[in-house]
Amino acid sequence: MRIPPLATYVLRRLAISLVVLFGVTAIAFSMSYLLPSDPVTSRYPDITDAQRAEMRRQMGLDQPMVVQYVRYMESVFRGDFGRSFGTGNTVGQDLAIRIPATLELAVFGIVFGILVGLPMGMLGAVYRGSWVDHVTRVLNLMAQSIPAFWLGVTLIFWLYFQLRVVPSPIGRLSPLFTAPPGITGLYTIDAMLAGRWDVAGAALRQLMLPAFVLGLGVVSPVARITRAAMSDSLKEDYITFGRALGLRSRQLILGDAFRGALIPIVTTMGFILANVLAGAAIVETVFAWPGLGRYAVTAITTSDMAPVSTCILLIASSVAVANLLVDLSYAFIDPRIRNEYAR
Amino acid sequence: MNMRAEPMNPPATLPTRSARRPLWRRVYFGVFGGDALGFAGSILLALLLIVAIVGPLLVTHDPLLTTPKTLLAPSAEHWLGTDHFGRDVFSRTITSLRIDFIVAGLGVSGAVLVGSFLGLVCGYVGGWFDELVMRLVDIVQSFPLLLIAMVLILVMGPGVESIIIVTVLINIPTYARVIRGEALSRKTLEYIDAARCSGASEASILFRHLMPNTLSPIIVHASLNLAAAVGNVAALSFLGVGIRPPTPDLGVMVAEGTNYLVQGAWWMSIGPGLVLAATIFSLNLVGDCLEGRLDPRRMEG
Repeated sequence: MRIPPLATYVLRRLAISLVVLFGVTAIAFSMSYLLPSDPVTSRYPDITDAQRAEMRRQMGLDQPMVVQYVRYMESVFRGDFGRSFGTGNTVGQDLAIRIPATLELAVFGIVFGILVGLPMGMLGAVYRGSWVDHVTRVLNLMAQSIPAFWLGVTLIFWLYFQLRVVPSPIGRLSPLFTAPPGITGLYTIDAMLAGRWDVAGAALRQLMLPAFVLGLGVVSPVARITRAAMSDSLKEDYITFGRALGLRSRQLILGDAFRGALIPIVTTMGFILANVLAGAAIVETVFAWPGLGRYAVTAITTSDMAPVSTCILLIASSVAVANLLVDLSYAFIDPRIRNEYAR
Repeated sequence: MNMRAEPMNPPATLPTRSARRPLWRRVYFGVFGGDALGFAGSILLALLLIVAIVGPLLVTHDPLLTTPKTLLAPSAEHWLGTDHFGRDVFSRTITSLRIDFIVAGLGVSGAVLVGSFLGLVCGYVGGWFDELVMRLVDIVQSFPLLLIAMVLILVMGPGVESIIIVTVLINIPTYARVIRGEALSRKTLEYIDAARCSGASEASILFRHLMPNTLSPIIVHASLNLAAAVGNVAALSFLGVGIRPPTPDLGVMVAEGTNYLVQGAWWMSIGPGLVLAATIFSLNLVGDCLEGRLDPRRMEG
């Protein structure tokens, strides 16, 4: 039986992802194994050496690394990620609160970055070499160059301490409001669903500044790839043909050339997600945002093993899955990639 | 590339015109191809580098000396004010710039050396070795590198050496991937066959023929990468795992300044942050200009 080319592609891509995910778990595990702290000592600081040895035996820490890794994998598949001694909760409980916080920040940040970066890149490509191109290029490089932590701190100083136009940077919602009932976990959306427009507004005001700072890091890669991809697709024969037919420029640029440029743009989404999740660590620290990034940073600096390996595992696997989805999606979009595997 | 640039320079038989042209114009058009942004970025970068190199001559105060004059606003005596230990912010900023350049520079150089070597070998040799290294690169690149860097630094013990080593490690995959692609696309070209026919050894083909031709993408990536590395070192310091106080570092200074914003001491973080942003910006401008000058795909545009 002949396997259809698309299936070959999908299977091959899935296999690669499995290998990558396996490596991800191995590295996430060794990260926690490497951390210079003894989970027994950090949890029970004043116990005797004999008690410590007994605790280590009970927790399986005296076993060889490979055995510990297998046990670790078993518990990961059971959905048991261990317990954080910092918060006293299981890592699962901690993450259930923190993932929606980061998700809300990341979604607003990425949407902002795309809304700004995409038109900037398109302008750069359409008016290539003109002053419009140069201006977008400078803005782009500036967005890329301003360190997020410094921008965050400076904006807090200026807009909060000086002008008082933004609420105090103390997390997701001012203490004057109670959190909306959890449906999606995103406060802004949940509050709107519950009809609490005042709460939605308050949540949005808390969210504005951190999402802007995080999103600024997305602007530059989006604009860069859009400009390059649009420049290429504007040179394609079908655009020249369209112009020769007398089609309107707007239709050609926004419709046809943009569609041709979409694949390289979509391809960078995995990279952008990785960027955003790394940036979240900094932005959440600056704005006291109770999300995944701040949780990870706190866990690393206090050598809290279980949350460290879980956060790293979670972020790396979501990036790996995003890359998989990206690759699969453009196999469906672009017949040329599909046919490469037909041979 | 040199072939293309040649017609722009007048031939040697007409020395009068080029001699009359001022030096900056010759540099501006000859080297930068009239790219004003790249030119401006290079001047800014050169200034910052000079400040970093001759820094010890420029400082007005001992950057580590604590005095009772804490949290003073900028004045003629203290150009950027003083911090919570009464140290001079201007002197500390200049000293930091020097340290951050050295750390990021060494880190990126290490990554260039190791990553390009790996990439060259992968692209040229191919086979299972290539497959193995590239899957490793895939794995490493799906990690949140900032968090990995934090963990590794804590494992090795905080310090300047750890930051350099971590910068090397997290940047190796970029170079390995880029240079592999370059090697792969060039290894079937005729000049490689010619070298092989004339009896060159594999090692000689790799290092004397293939490597020099992958230099321009390396240079472009290194300059953009240096910008990112300066930012990352500062970010690590800001998060408390990078360069440790009292050693001055731009990230540490911004972090320390954050705690005194409530008291209105904006000068503690604004100055160092601006210098940091200017450094990254100048490196990005230079990298972007180099990309345009060295990448044939963009030269035509």
